[in-house]
Amino acid sequence: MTEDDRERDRQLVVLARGGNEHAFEVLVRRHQDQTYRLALRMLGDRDDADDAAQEAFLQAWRGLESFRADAAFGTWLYRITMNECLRLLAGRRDTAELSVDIEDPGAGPEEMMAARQVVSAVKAGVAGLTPEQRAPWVLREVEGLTYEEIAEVLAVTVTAVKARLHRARLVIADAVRRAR
Amino acid sequence: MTALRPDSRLPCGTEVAHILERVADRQEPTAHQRGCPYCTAAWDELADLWVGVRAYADEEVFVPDGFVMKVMRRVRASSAASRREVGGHSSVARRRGWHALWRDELGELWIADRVVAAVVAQTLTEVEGFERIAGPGGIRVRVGRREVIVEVRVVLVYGQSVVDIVAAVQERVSERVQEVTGLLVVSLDVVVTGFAAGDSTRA
Repeated sequence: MTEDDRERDRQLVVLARGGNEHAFEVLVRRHQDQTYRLALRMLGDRDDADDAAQEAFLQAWRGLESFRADAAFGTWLYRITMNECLRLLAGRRDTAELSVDIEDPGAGPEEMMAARQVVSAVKAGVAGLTPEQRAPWVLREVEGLTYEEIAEVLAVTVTAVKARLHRARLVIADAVRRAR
Repeated sequence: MTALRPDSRLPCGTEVAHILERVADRQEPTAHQRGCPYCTAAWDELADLWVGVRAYADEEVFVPDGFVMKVMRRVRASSAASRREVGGHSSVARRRGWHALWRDELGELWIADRVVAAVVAQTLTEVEGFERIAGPGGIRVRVGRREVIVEVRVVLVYGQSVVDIVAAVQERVSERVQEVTGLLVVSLDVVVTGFAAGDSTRA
């Protein structure tokens, strides 16, 4: 996201705060991909991700007043989305195992099949992470955030981010290695 | 595949985890890691593992159909409910839009966008090199809760640096608006539409 994008977001937030729903709709369009992807990677289930992403935008709309004008809207939205995902995962933990969205590798040329198997192995590895490990892992590996941004999203220190990410990477590396 | 474990240490003393971190963060190997046969072997193997992670990360994710529509339906339902809660004067003002709202224990303060526009217009006359506001509607103001977006279309005096005049306009206007209304100018675009004075460069 460029500085121009951030500036445009800020202007849209100003308009949305004044009650302009069209401006908010533009924000939803601009950020729907990252929000839904984060929810899907955290929850591993399309319907749950759909619900969580919708809920995140609704909370953003209601909480626009608490958004600081000097912050990045994208980072703020990641934080809301992540909190919603962690809330859902905490509720799920008592009732069922973490769901995994592992597709059947299916048929196809040998190389493609191998690639799909590796991706499935990664997904299984992700499902094996605790929510606390999975959060920084997804933000880093999938969303490409910096350690500092992750710390902001998760409201923890950079040191804590590094420690959790480190454990998560060990788990993933091990899962992929064993699948081969 | 070798039995390389990510939580182990290589014969040269390097922790496998340390290499993993550099591979995952797309960093270059250290000088030792480049020269050491144990490290290069471990590096290659982990880089190979991480190809799967990259493939996973790059996998395209499609937002469900009608997602934006569903969100906006809930947003509209939510704001309709809050308008009912606020009621009375506030809801009337909100419908007209573009008024800033301050709320404390004592009451509410609303500022019309034209108040901000008046401050902008007055301030412009204090800037050297400014000639006049271009046409009707030359000042556009959008007021949020505590922030304001301003766009001004101006005609300048010919002969001075446009960049300097625009910079002066931005600085002076932001200061004055904040001083007078307490609102923060988050964006101030200046559109120069022409030059004044009897000159062939009139735009």
